[in-house]
Amino acid sequence: MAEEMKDLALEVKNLNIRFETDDETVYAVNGISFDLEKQKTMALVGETGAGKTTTVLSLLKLVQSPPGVVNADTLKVVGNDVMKMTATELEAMRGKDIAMIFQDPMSSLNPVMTVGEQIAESVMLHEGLDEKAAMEHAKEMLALVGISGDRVNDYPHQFSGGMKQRVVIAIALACRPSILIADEPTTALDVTIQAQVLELIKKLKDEYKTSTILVTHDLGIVAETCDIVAVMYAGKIIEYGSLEEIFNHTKHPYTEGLFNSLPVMGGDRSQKLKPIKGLTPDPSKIYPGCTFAERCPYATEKCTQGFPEYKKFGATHIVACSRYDEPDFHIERKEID
Amino acid sequence: MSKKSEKTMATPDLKKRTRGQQIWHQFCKNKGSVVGMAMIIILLIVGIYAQFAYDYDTDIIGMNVDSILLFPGQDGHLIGTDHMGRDMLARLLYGAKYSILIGVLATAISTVIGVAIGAIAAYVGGKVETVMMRLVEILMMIPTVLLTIILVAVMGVSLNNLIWALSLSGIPFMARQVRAAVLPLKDSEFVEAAKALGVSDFMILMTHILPNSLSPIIVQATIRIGVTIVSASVYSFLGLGVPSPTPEWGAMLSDARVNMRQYPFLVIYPGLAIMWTTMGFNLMGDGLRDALDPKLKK
Amino acid sequence: MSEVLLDVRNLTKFFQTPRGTLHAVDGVSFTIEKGKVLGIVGESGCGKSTTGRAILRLHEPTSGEVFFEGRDVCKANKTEMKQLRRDMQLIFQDPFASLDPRMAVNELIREPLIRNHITKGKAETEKRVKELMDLVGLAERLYNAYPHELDGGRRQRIGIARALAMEPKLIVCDEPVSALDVSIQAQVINLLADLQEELGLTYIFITHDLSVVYYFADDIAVMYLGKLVEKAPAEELFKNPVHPYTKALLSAIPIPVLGAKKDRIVMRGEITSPINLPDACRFAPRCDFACEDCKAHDCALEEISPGHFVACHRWRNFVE
Repeated sequence: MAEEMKDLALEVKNLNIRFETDDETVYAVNGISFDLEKQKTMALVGETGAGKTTTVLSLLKLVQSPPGVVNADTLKVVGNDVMKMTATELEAMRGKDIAMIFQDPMSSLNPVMTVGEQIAESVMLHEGLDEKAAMEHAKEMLALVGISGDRVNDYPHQFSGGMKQRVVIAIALACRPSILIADEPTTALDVTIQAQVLELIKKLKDEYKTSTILVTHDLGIVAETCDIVAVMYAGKIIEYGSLEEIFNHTKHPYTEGLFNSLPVMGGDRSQKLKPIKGLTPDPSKIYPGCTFAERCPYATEKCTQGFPEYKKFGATHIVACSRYDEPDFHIERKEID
Repeated sequence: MSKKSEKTMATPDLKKRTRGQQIWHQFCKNKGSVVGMAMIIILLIVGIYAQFAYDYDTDIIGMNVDSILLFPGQDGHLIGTDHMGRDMLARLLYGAKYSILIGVLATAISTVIGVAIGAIAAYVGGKVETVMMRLVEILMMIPTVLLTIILVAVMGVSLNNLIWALSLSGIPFMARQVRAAVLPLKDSEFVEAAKALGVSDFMILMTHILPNSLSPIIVQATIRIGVTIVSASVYSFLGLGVPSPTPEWGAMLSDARVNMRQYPFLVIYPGLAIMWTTMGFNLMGDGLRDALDPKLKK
Repeated sequence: MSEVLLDVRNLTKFFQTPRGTLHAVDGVSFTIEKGKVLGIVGESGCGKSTTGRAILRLHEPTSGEVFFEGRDVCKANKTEMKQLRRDMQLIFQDPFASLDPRMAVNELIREPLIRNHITKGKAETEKRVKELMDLVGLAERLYNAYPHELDGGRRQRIGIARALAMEPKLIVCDEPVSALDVSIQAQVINLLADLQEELGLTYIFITHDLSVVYYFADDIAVMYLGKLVEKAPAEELFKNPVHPYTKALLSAIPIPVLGAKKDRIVMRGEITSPINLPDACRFAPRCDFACEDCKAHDCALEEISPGHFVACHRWRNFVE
């Protein structure tokens, strides 16, 4: 048992996050649980408002409070309970055990500090290196992400968008964190630059043996970079499984809808896209049943009564859909309207 | 296909509140602004009441030798009498009219002119902007007191001239504020969208740009009312504004100069009245700014 | 051969910047036939949006000619322009920024109708507003809603309704779905496709995402640093891309199918500055196949097979 625990980089059980304001309460994350094994890459997939970013922010205890209220049975990062950490312990953990890459490279860099200083900053803090050694390290990190070490004294505005994101990656990896969280790391970038950055992240995560959570809405990126996929909808994980299970043996109607909505190059050009009807649910409401029921083409009366239990298929595939109570139910992965 | 199905599906309820109600809701959240508004409402009620309760010739400017410089409480004069034996309370309440009139009118004039200058300068841009804004800056460079002295020297001391002088000195602030608000709007995408839809420049200015720069204008105006009332009092105190015996608060302060040491209540109460009014408008202005800022909503 | 609706010849738009002349659009030529969809594809800074706006004269072109139904748009006076504005419309990328936050849905849709005197009288306007809302799939109860109360998809529908209010023949769609979530994106793409069929519209569909135009563009033009580098019928372009940039762009798109493809071309470097460009192929600094010729002088668009145009000195090396 103790041995098993060590293999987990992340352990999350029944995580709930809500935002309370005077006007309303927004339920962003509603009881999600997942484990992340070491050196694996998990994708957190979902649309705007699904609670992906809030979930990963809570792992670093970065959810603004107030208005945020975080509750969890377990929230462990490399075996340490984040919920019980003091402010000093949290600071020691962030950057060292768990590091984050944000979506917008333009705003996550400090414009008045050289990129070298920004990389050195966390190394000096966590590894206790002196300034000179830290700057040396910064040069190495820049070289690692494909930027010439000579540019260590340049300011962020002297770099292009893709280069800035590389700097951000260098900062995140400077202290060799065991867990890397990438929140839509390529959404702000062009496709050809996105390809470069994804290649870099893939290469580095192997080299550094980091466990990674990749937050994204792009299933194409997931297919290329991840081992495990968790699909989120309205603050809940509704399907979880290996890449193969999610992509080739899709079980949840929402995941199916996502695949059907995507324009895929190489598909049949005469066919039309099949969007999911309707909109994502209002996060300030509590739904008695399955949150996807009102958009789901397979929904029955039963779906609106109580959130479905998680059902396990095979070794790792977990699905939250009541229809699978019926033994012969299956989705068609074709037109829904 | 998909577009037809959109109509039938369930959607989250839309907020039932209208925009006005939302602003009111937001405004009420700020305690200070509610207090400020209450202060102004009280001032208005009292000011209107005074117009009917007192007779201008006998109560307000008439001399009363029996009761010169009575202390507060003496002979039923709640806050005493001045050097002419006039009841301070009556004068003070009656004088509310002048302060509010000067504050609101001067601000209104400078707002209308300032908005026109600022909006046109920002929207048209180029040489027009440069010329207009340089002129405004020249106006701003002249010290306000000097400007007022010049105007009053040319046109004579009167309530009207004071209002004109104050309006003129308020224009630059308003014009610059409006220009700053319009500049980003001018390049906004919805203005470009309106152009693509064939909407004329004039209509874009009237229907898109001005309504969207309303918040800073309203806020600036409320705050300027307070500022204007204080400066009006200053000019009256200096003898450049409303002439005695009109019970303008600044003029009352000016009258009290000689007897201030022995009879401090002569300056304390008019001073408090000015403070009350200015504070009321400023507090309300702060609340309005928050209520009208869409970024602070939700 | 159906009639040509729009004929763009040598369209150029330069911006003067403190650092020199920015070549946003540099000699772009193409034609679109009535009822067709042309996809203009490229990365940020390639000039695709500027091209769209220059055609509508929202940015005054520096030089070049744009013929709409035979009339030269660039030489049109104010009255003619007013008519042309009705014929050519634009749908914006950001459905939030392009809608006045202080106007309700009905006011937003009414604005183009009133300002251009398209409908007469209150009743007719009212009727048309409701028709348009219905056409784009906006429920009638949203009549008095404000943009900030709606999601991105609905806001984009408002933008589409506003464009349709002008009864245009040509619509320039400038990244109309890139700010939307996938499930909503598909709804809007389908709506645009349906409308095109129903109303016989012609689209210029500007996007950075090739997979978005994959489904309904007839022709695709690829832009790089202000120039067209390749233009071909969609089928042909996806099957036989010739220009090295097009190939790299196609291979860079992640495909949500396991084991879909693996011969990715990861391009070197990033898009260079479009300011003060030398006379050379603009893609040469990033091109794996660039030769001396490519660096010495620029290349022009050549027709390599019917309808397939490529601007590359070495295209013969890439075609079997």
